[in-house]
Amino acid sequence: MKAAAHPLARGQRPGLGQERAWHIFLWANTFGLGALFVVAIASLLWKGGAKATFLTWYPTPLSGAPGEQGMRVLLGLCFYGVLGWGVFRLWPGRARLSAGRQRHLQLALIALVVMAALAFNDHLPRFLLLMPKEGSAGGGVGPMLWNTVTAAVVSGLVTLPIGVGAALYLRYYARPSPILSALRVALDTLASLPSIVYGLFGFLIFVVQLRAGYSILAGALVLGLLNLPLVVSVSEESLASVPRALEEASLALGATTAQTIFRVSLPVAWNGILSALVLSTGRVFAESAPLIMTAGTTVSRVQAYAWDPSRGGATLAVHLWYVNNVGLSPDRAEVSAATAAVLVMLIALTNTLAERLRRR
Amino acid sequence: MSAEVSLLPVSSDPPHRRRSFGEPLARLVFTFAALLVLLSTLMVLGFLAQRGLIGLWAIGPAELLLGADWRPELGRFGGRPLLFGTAVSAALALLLGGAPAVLAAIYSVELAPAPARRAMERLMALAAAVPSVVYGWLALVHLVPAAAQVGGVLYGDGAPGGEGLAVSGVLLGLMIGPTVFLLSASAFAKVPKDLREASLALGASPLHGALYVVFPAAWRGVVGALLLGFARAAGETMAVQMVIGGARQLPLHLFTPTTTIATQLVADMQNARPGTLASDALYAMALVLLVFSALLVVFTRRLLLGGQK
Amino acid sequence: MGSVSKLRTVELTVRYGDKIGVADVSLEIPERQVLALIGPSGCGKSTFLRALNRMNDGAIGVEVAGRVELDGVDVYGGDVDPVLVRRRVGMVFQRPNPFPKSIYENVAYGLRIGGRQKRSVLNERVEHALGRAGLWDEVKDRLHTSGTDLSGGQQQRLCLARALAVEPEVILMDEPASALDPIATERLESLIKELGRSLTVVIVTHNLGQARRVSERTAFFYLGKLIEVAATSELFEHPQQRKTQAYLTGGFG
Ligand SMILES: Nc1ncnc2c1ncn2[C@@H]1O[C@H](COP(=O)(O)OP(=O)(O)OP(=O)(O)O)[C@@H](O)[C@H]1O
Ligand SMILES: [Mg+2]
Repeated sequence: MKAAAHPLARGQRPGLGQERAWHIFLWANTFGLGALFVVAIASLLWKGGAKATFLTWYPTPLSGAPGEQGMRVLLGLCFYGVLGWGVFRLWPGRARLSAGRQRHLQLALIALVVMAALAFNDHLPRFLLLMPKEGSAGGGVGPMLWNTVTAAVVSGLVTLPIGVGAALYLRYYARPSPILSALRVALDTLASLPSIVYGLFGFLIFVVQLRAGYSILAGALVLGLLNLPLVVSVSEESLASVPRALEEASLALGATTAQTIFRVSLPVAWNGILSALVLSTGRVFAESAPLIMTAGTTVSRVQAYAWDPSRGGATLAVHLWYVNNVGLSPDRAEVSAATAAVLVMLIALTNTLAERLRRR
Repeated sequence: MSAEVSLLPVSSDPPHRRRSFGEPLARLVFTFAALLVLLSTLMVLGFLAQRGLIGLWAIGPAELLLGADWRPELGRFGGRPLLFGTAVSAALALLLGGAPAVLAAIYSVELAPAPARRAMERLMALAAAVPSVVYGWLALVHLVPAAAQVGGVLYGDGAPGGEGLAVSGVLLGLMIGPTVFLLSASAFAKVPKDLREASLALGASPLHGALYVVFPAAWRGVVGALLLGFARAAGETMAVQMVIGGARQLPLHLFTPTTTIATQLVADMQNARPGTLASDALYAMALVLLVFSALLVVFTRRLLLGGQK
Repeated sequence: MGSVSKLRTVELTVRYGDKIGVADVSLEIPERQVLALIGPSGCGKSTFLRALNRMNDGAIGVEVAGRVELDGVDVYGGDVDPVLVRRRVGMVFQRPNPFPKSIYENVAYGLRIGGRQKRSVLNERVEHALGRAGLWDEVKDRLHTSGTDLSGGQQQRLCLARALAVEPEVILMDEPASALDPIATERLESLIKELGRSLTVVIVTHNLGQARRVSERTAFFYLGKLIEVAATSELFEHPQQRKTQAYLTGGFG
């Protein structure tokens, strides 16, 4: 470059060298941090994802655990559902169709997915269906997947009504009082506790005091408690974003507060509340310490796919810890990679879903 | 307003009939839900405090916090190795993960092009939600062997496995990085645009404005983000358990196996008979962790982050 | 009337995406004068002003075409450093926006940009700048209290002092008095007039009286276009264009 031709030309500002150095440093730092996570997550999905989710072309043998057939159909629905949905979203011709046509297509797709799930459920990924193996290679995570679903459903059933109820109380009924400030402090405290503390609490109550042994129910209740502050604060936020004018219009028509809540506020705030539920489901997928202390680390062969939530059992995250720290299986590297990949995929799914719900 | 209301069409069934018991019932149900939240918090604190205080009383705070020997099966309850491990690994995490995350946040918010910022925020939101056992496993597979080599070079035979504070610090740094990034990015984004423009108009480069205007204006949020990160690192359990070695001793250096409060809680709790001093000592330790986190987080939220409303 | 043009725009057009903010404006801004920009809300005054010192550089979707010449150099030229442009062309905003720092640090901020300075030099220049902005006597005893604790009018003069401290050749002001009470406004106006003797000032205002009081020349904008520019007394007494006439008599805006 030539010497500065005019007084405004680049490169003659004092301190420019230092500034460039800062830029490069900050850029490298940011890029490095980002790249680290991209590489970690991508390699995880690449290595473990293939193992976990590739179809088998031959029928997977049943392991003989009761309930496995139902699990296959359920998994088939999810698997082909995600596949069909993805194809539908990515198909470029979709935008040209009318809304009615799209609806018909969606219905057809759902029918197709159900049929595929029924017809091909013997050819699903082995890993997602098989029983875990303790001493030999080739185990899967079928029961863990089912336990994870059970825990998520139960804890959602606990946390949603209580959380939303408390949020409604805070938003529409609470008057400044010692109780109210105690409630705020309580929520802050709950949000601050490390998850191991919840685990100890659950252990103390369910295992020690009630002598109920390890159970998914206990784990789910503890996780429901852990998720309460999140659900309350997100619900309260989305209730606060309901336009005041809408609510006032309803009240002015003679509706009571309760009627206004059910007919106006909740329907408007519903997406935000659902996003809280989805986020807390993500946390159920991810948590390990409280579950290890309340739901145990193993699965029983007889109750592998039972409905009964009072059975004990490991979730996916707990299983990932277990195979590395306790388990004896020789292929623990592969099992871990695949389990981690499934977990990350589930988390990515809940994250995207929550984000979408919040945007709406 | 009431004059307007009378002009509006009224629905066919008169409102007072629908009103009869719905309102008090709803109020009752919602109040009950709120009380349930309060009650369960009290239960968590109450039960843990009860057992914990029994342990604390029997052992004595001086021994529990300062004693150097933690062997519950022998009746030794010196918590110093646990506290030391927790504090040092969390501090290392702040240094190795927190600081880069803050710098990355200021770069993304202030200097990077908008699409890059959005991509970074998405990525960090995902990374923050990835289960801690997944990070623990990655560290176990990739970091521990690497640390074994580094430790071997530095200390020869003194660093056999690579497990210890070094790996835990890096791991925890990676785990709190995304959270610290997201929180401090939102603190930077909250700084009014006016101030950035004022700085630019004085002939300062965007970098200068970021460092000398935006950063100081957002320091509360940044400190808050770091403190929350510290609290999270101090309470992390399973991931650390996988890489710290689980040796109940004060470490000689960063590559010696040692332990933390949270790790030791899971490790010992399953073996401790309920009602014995060994079990109560663990609850006392949990109480220490609980009080520390609650104070730190509530202080941070109330004072630094301006209350979460 | 001033002799040389300090700033000159040639067919300057600014777009926000598809929307046009400033259309094809060619305007001479003479040295050591106050130029007032008037026009109804949304006519592109702020957009024009911010184009002069490349304030919109980082903004997404803002496109600038045409030229802005500072002493004959196009500030949108390919090899121009926008930071250097802004160092010579300062700006005071509509809402007072002091940094959340002490009064002293607010003024010293611009002086420290180039690197470390001697304390005594810094002190002297801070005092000088505060003096030029007419604020020295009011704040000399509390230089180290926060700039945001001042009154609105004082804050705005602090912002002026801050801008003057780096000794720009041009100062752009976007409705600097719109958040001030009448007395603070009067003080600011006399300062602006004073400044007009030593440097080039471009001021956007909605207050026609203010334009009349402080400026030597006035430009009237309408729907992004420059409709008319003339000596202030000329423009106010004998507007040449019908739109100008209508605006001045309160026909719209
Ligand atoms: N960031 C932006 N994005 C899109 N359009 C914009 C943006 N800023 C301004 N505009 C549009 O450009 C036009 C000119 O705006 P500008 O702010 O320059 O007007 P103004 O004359 O300063 O108005 P006022 O007197 O109200 O300050 C307006 O129509 C406005 O809507
Ligand atoms: Mg304007």
